Formats: sequence, C-alpha cells, structure tokens
Amino acid sequence: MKQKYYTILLVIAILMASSAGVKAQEASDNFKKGTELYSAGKYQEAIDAWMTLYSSGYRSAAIDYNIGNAWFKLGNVPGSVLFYERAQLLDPSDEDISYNLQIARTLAVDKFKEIPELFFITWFNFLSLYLSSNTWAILGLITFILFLVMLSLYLYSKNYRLKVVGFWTALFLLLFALLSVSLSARNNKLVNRSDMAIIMSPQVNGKSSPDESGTDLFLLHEGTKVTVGDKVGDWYEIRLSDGNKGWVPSNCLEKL
Amino acid sequence: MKKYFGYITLFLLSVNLQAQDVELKAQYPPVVAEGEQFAISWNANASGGEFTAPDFSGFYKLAGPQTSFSESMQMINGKVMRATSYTYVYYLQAMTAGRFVLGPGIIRIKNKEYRSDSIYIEVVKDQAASQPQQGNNQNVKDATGGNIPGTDLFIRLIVNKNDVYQGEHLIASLKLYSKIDLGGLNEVKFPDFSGFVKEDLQTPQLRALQRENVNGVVYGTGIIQQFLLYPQITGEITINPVELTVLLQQKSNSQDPFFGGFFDTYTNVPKVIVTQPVKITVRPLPGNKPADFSGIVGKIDLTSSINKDSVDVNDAVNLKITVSGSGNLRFAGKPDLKLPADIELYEPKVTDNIKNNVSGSSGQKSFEYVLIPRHYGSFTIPAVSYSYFNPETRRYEKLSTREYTFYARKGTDQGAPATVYGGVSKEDVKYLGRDIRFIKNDPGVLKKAMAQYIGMKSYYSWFAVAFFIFVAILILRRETIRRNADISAVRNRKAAKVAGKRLNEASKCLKSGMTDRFHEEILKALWGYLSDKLSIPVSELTRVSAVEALRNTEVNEDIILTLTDVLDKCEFARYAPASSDTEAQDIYNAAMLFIRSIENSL
Repeated sequence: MKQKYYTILLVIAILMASSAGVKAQEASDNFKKGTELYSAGKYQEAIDAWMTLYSSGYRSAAIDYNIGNAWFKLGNVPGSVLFYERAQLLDPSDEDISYNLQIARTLAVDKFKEIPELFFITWFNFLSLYLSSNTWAILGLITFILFLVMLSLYLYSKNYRLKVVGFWTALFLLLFALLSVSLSARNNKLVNRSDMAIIMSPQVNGKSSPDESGTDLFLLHEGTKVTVGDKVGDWYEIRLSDGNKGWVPSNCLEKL
Repeated sequence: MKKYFGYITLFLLSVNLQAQDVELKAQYPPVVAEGEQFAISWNANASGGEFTAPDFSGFYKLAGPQTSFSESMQMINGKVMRATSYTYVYYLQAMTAGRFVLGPGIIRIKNKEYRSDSIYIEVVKDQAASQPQQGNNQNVKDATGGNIPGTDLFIRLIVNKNDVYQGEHLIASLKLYSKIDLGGLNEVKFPDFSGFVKEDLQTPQLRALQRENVNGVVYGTGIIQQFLLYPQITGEITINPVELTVLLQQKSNSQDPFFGGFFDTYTNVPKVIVTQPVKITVRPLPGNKPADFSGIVGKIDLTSSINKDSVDVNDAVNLKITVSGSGNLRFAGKPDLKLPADIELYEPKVTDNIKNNVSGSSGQKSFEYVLIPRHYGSFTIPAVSYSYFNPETRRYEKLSTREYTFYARKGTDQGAPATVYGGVSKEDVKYLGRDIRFIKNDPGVLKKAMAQYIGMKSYYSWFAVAFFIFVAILILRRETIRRNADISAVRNRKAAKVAGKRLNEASKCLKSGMTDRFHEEILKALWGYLSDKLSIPVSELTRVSAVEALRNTEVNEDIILTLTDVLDKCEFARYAPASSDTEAQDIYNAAMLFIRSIENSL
C-alpha cells in the first residue's frame, strides 16, 4: 500500500524535474552570458541577460544575487538592496549575500533600525527559509505518513516494547509533520507573498492619507525597507521599521 | 641638459671676450626733446686707439670730442688685473623732431677696427623740456603750494596682462614718471593685494631715471618694484592704489641778492603720489579639472627617479619626482602615489628651487618619497599621473612618470641573536577597502518557480488520502477480528448438529451390536459438542474444565450431573463390555437429553 504512495510521489517528482529540464540548458547559457558580461564590466548588459531569466520565471539565489551585484556596480542602491533581499529569502545561509546586502544597506540613506523580533520568530523564519516551501511541504507529508505507520505499530503490536516505541515515535512524527507544514506555509508567506518592499524612488514623502493632498508625515529615501499594508487605488499603506505608518504611491516601491 | 650646457659655454665665451678683446660701448639718452642739449659718450676698454665718431646728421654738434682716460690696477693673490678706459664724449643738440639712427662709433687699435652698436635716438617736440632748468623752477614753485601738476610726476602700476586664468601669474611693475628732479624716494605703501599671492621680483635699486617718450612727452622713468601676482580667486579683482612718498627738492624761499640762485639751498619736501586702481579679470580654469590636477598653471615637465631597484625588507627606497618648468610651481600639489599596501609611505620631502623673474617663476620642485617595503617580494610603483593647465593651449595636459619595479629581499637579521623558531612576524590582515563580493558563477539548479504545494488543495488531499487509507486499514483489521470471532460462533451454532450426527452413528453401532464403538461415538459426540459449545480447544478440554465452564454459564446442576453420569457410564462401559442393550439405550437417551437441554439453556 505504502509502496504505491512512494511510487506516485516519485512519478510526480520525475515529471517536475523533466519539465524543468526542458529549457534548463538554455537558461544556464543565459546565466553564463550574464556572468561573462559582468566580468567584462558591462553591467547593464549583464542585468539584461539575467533579467530575461528572472522575468521568464527562473528563481535562484544566484540569479538574484548577481543582479543585485550588477545594480550595485551601476550605483543603483535600491535595486541592489531589492535583489539581495530576494536572494537572501531564497538562501538565507549564504554569507556572500548577507555581506553584500549589509554593504548595500550602508549606502542607503535612511538608517535601518529594525525592531528586533522575538528570537524564536527569527529562528522560525530562518528555519522556514532553510528549505524551500515545497520541500517542507513534501517533508510534512512524508512524516505524516510515517506517523500513521507508527500509530499502526502502536495499535496492532502485541509486543509491549514495540508499542511504547511506536507511540513515542508517532507522537514525534506528528509534531514534526505539523512543524514542516507550518514552516512550508511560513516560507511561502515570506518568499512569495512577502509584505516587505524596498523604496525605489530617490525620495518619497509618506502621507497621512492615500492622496496627494495628505499631510507629509516623513521623508523616505531609496533603499529603505518597509512593510506594505493596505492598498487603496495607487497608494500603499506602509509601515516603517520604527512603527510609523503612512501612505506612498505604489510606483515608488517594489515588493520583494 | 644639452641646452643648459650650451648656455654655460656661451657665458664662458663671453667672459673671455670681455677679458681679452676690445669693446666699444656707446652711452646716450634714448629720448630727447627738440632743442635739448645732450651728450653721447663712447667708452673703450683699451688704450692707444684711433676713434672715429659717426656722422651726427640731424643734430648740431656743440662740442667734442672730449677724451678722458682712466686706468685701474688690481692685484688679487698675485694676479694683476688691469682695467683701462678711454671715453670720448660729444655734446649735441637735437634740432628737429623725429627718429634718428647714428652709425656706430669705430675705434681702430693696431690696425684692427672695433665697432660699437648703432645709436637710436628719438627726438620729440616738447615745450616744457626745452628749458629744463626753468621748468624745474616752475614746478618747485608749484610744489610749495603743494600742487604739482599730475602730468609732471606720477606713478603707474603696469600689469602685463589684464585677463588671466586663476593661478596664472601676471607681472606688475610699479613705475615712476617724473619730469622734475626728485630728492629721493621715501617709502612705498603697497595695498594688501587681496585675491592674489604676491611675490617680489628682485628689482635693482632705482638710481637714475631713464628717459622715455610718453605720448610725446619726455619723462624720466624708473621701475621702483616689480612683482609676480598669482590670482587665487576668480572674477574681477581690483588692485587698490599704491602709495609712494617722494621727496621733492624745494628751494628755500630766501633769495640771495648777490649770487642769484647759485648758492640756493634746497630742502626735501615729502609728497604722496598714488597709482590708479587696476582691474584684473581672473577667469576660472575651464572644463572639468582632472582628478590628478596639480594646481599648476603654466608649462611643466615631470621627471622621476628611484634610487634602488632592490632592497632588504624594511629598508627605504627613495622615489623622487621632480616638476620643472614655469608657472605657479610653488603651489604644486604633491603627486598622488597609489602604492601596494605592503609598502609604507611617508610624507614626501619637498624641496624647491624656484626663481622669480620678469617672465614668471620657473625652476623645479622635487618630491622625495621614502618607501619602505614591509614584506618581501616584487613591488611595482605604478605610474604617477600629474596634470596641469596650460594657459597657452587652454587645455589640461597630463604627464606621467614611468612605472618602477623593485624587489624587496628577505631581510637578513644580522644583529639579532639566533632565534629558535623561524616563522614570520604575524600581522593583521590589512583591509584595504570595502566592496561587494563577486558574483556567483554557479547558477545552482536552474528551474522555474513552481506552484507552492502549501497553497494547493491537492496537497492537503494527500493527507486526507493517507489518513483515509489508515482508517481503512483499521476497519479492515476490525472486520477480520470480527470474522475470527464468528468461527467459534459457527462452531457453537453447529455443535448440536455435529453431536447429532455422532449420536446417529452411535445408534447405528448399537443396532449392529458393536457396543464398544457405540460408547466411543457417544464420548466423541459429547466432547466435541462441549468443545464447540464452550469454545474450549480440545487439547485443553478435561472433565474438570468442562464442568467449570458449564457452571460459569449457570447451567442447571442436574444437567451437569446428567453429563458426568453419562461420561462415567461410557467410560465404565468401555472397560466392562458386557453391558446390556437397555443400558446402552439409557446412555444414548441421557446424552440426547444433555445436548438438548444445553441447547435450550444456552
């Protein structure tokens, strides 16, 4: 019975891999072209090469990181911050990404004064980004199935020792399955439906209402990271890291 | 270098000529007024010659030649130097205005002719100067009233350029013009020259005024002071007036009745004269300054040298960069050296040798850098670029030194005692700059972003499927257990039937007279029935366990007694075969009764 599950999963995985592999060669060539252009100092052309990959839906920390680098070399700080942030979401443990992001941030005018999150939220977020959302999801599913197997062992075994082992393993696997699924959800939330955004305009005023006539509350400069809330017309409500809220036109920022 | 050498040889040659050859020099006023009397003198540094004056056409010769002779001898360290001088003086009067050229004077010594330069004299129409003595008197009289006409005595600040670039030098000369005799010059009060850096030029002290034609008027002129001005700010800069205090010779008022003016006494009266303010337009340097702009406006050359090409570690290498040429060299900034990080660089020693003269300042400025390699290896001093502004071409021009390479050897610590461990002195890694890290060359697994499972219903349905299968297995197992349980029920249900068959068999045996078989069949029927009915395996079935099981089912005690009775009788009959048929019939009936009553009660 379980054999059948694995077979199905395997078939799904193979199908996905093969569909991804169709144009992988072409994409890889494009990526290489970008790196060569970058090495030759043609940053704009390198960005163009990588952006064709990016806009055709390819996602990888390396692509985002390289685009960030090229923007940085062109002196576009917000662009580099944006792509470094994106790269970091895809690979939070990469040192180069965090290092370059840090450097790009020092060039942003506004001070980043991030309110420290509770440590377990940080850990949770980091852990969720450690694997991709789908990996977490599959892991959750597999552990859930294993949980059911162990539960069966507990229920049907006549041997006391096996029963005990089965019970505790099942409990652990259930918890792990729940954790995996929630990590997958968290990852998805962070990576694909992020409510963080980077200010792209050189400067922009935060208004008290989604309207040109609103009172100016604060002045933001390019490269600042904000949290996006409601959207009204062409206006976003944003929240700064220090907790202040205001409205800015939607074209002056870019979501992660 | 070749050029300098040429100059030097030329100079030496001229000295030789002076020492050995005869020279004839003419002295004369270049400008005279019409009707004025003046003298021309020729001076020869040799004796015994025959002098021929040129034709004084256009002038009236008043007197001459007057010949004078002087000789001097000097003995320095036993070396005798003799100087002889013959002077021939002619007094002339200018007749008509115009420019005149007189031929050279010729002196003939030992059948050899020596010529002076030709003489250029300009004669101007000048009423005032025609009677200098009289004019002088008049002026002095005016001076007593403190009112000298501005045209008789004035000073000018003359600049060679009015329109300069910032940093480009200009030469200012303070020049005195006078038609009257002066007792002397007192003090010059210069303004502060704000906006300029001023450097004085060596100006010979003014002893005698030169005659000069200024707009048809002959003035005695003299340069009091010359200086270089380097504008530091842009825009229109006004140089405030220079004040000069001159001493006018004033005749005392008392008139001598006997000797006229001959014994007149003169007193010096100070008078202040000022220049006109001068406006200078200073233009900023055009275009974008190059990053390596030195601040020099002018024309320069750049040379460089290095004193060693291989040193020990921690020994110094001198790099000398010399800027030479003309321009505001004094303001030359030091060249920017971009050295490898392991080289320690000290502030350069700056030496300059700059001379100011009327064509601006020129000379050279040297920057001597001391470089100390702190690590062994081959080091390259990159070319140093240095640019300046050339006001003639109005462009920035770039110079650069050549690249030098030197090698630093591993030091030989001779003085240090023998160390036990080798190893190098540890130092912190030097962080030279911050830059982003390089791009990643490995794209990793390139794949398109996939749909996120977590948002899909199908993903959760897998959980449902798994759970469903689990539940299904659970139910399946329950069913099996239930079915297993049914087997005993079936046997229970069929127990009477099986026992009935056995009893039938027994009655057949009885009819055919096989009493042994009969008893055996009865026992089998009973035991089988008990086993099935009470769900006790045959192996565990004994009389005691059967009775106990029956008691637990609360069967009537009489029925149990019937059972034990039948069992006893059957057992007994098996070992005592001579039993009657009626007795066997009783046993059969009792067994039937037992099974029936159990069936009824259970």
